[in-house]
Amino acid sequence: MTGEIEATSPYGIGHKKLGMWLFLVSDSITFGSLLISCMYARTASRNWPTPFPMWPSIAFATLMTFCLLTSSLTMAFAVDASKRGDRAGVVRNILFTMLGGIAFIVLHAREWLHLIDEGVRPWHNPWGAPLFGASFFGLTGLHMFHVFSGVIYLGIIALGARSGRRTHEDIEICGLYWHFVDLVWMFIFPLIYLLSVAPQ
Amino acid sequence: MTGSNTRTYSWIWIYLLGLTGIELILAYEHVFSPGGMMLVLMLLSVVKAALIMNWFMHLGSERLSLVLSLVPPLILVLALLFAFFPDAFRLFELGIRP
Repeated sequence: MTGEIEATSPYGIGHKKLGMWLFLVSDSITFGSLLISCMYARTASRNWPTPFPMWPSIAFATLMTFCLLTSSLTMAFAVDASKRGDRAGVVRNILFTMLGGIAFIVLHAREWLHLIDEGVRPWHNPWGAPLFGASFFGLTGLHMFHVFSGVIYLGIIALGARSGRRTHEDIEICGLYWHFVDLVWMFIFPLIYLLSVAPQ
Repeated sequence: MTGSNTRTYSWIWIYLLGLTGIELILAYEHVFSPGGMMLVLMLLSVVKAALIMNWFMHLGSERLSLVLSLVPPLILVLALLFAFFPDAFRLFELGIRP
């Protein structure tokens, strides 16, 4: 099958994997637009809020980064296990990946509730530039939705892998999506959190 | 679970954590001005993204035709989005509150 794909496709990959790559490119443009508009608003503002103290906000955001990075590692292990035909290894590693994703969502929901409690809204906040709330909730909300969808996607793939219905390509494609979610966070974390660290 | 891939993935994970640690230290110490900090942090993020794309997403081992079809257009579109960015400095000078 792989040899057939390599012979017939100019890209040497199946149509499902190509579809995922194209989706990820279009999603990159979506996130790129949001990130650049956030950087624009941040640069243009004299009174951009810096509401995140190192403890607990930055510490929790760093823990969220650790969860996503570790889940990417376990996803890479799952794809590796699938290549070797180790079905149990695939399911186990995907479950660890899901655990990382769920931990990320829980920690992030906590951060959202904390900021909402402090009076931050998409159109207003108590500290300065109103666009801070729109940038924060817009970027992190869209990302959290991707993580949430990814956890469901992983669950479906894990069930399929356990019963043997899912091929190596399916697991690899799911891995592409999950790594992309991790990649996007590598830009959101510094832009949203680290550039808004409260002065000591 | 043994093998060179496991070791490679683990090393990439450690590099990514290390780069995150560097970002944290820079933010904690407020080493640069906000503009300089944004530039440095985004550059570090690009390095992290490249590590993820090359090693975890295996883009480096795909055919060159795929890489050339995906990456340059994306970079071009994102670069074009930056065309509006200098306007942010004008707004900053004017003291307008966005």
